[in-house]
Amino acid sequence: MMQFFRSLFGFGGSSGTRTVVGHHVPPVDIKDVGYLTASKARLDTLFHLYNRYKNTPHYPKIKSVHQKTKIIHEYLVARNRLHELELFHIQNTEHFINTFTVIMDAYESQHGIHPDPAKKGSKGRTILSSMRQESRRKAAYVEKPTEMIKPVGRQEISALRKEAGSEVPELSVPDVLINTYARIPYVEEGNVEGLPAGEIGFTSTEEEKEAFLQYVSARLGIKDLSYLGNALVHIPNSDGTYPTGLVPIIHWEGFLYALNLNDFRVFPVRIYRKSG
Amino acid sequence: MADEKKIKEPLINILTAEQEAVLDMYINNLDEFFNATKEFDKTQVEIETLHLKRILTK
Repeated sequence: MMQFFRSLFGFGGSSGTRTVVGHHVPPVDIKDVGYLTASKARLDTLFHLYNRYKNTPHYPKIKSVHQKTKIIHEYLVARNRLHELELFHIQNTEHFINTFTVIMDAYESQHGIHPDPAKKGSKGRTILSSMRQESRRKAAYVEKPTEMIKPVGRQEISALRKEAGSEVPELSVPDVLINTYARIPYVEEGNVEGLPAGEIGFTSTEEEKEAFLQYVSARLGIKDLSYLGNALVHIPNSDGTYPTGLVPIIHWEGFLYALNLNDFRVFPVRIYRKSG
Repeated sequence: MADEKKIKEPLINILTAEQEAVLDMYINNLDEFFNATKEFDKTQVEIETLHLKRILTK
């Protein structure tokens, strides 16, 4: 510590690890968007949580947790330190939410009170669940579901083709095969540089899988993921390389995706089941 | 009569003493985190200011 101050006051030579503030080159914008969404979701959860404690003497305290968390969120967002915010949430907010949600759930089920279904998760989830309800309702009417992909007429096709230049690419949902024994190491930022945070595979424990899913959930800014296993694929990186290797396969909102842990791109897949 | 603005609702205590203590500790934790972050930022500003001064008075 003293060495550090000495170097600052000119008694230890210049350090050379200084950053110039004010030259704002946002390094990884996409991640930050995910962190921002995740933080807002947590604030939302805290909001709903303290409302559940309304008729308890603990209400003002839980409310103040929400308030203080919000202040921290606003402080760090204003300074564009979203990764730090995410770290804070993972180390603090998540545990608090889990603990006091479980306490409230246990109390409510003890007293035969139905847990409020409206107070579940973030806005994103309720939008998706209402969309699902919509399609369920439509299916019940045996009605053709609204086709979201606009079919184009002949003239439009040739005009678009000219624009596109070459062939219209065919997107596909390839089949992958889940490997039931191999494990992949994965690195989490904030840990010791370069060392894997953990390994994930079909044979991992529930806790390992949960930890991995929390990490992916936070990075992608989505909730309710399940982990299926790893699969051997040729997968494109954002830098143009096309390596072959094992990647984790996750389940989200009714579909399966292969996850590229280098750039966090997801690719829709299907699982190939060997028969016999 | 004018003092009794609200109907007294029974406040159900659902936390054990230990859980309440954890709640208090978490609130302190939040305060400490925020204060520590602010302190750190303050020192950063001071460091940069001193460095700038040094450059200007060389």
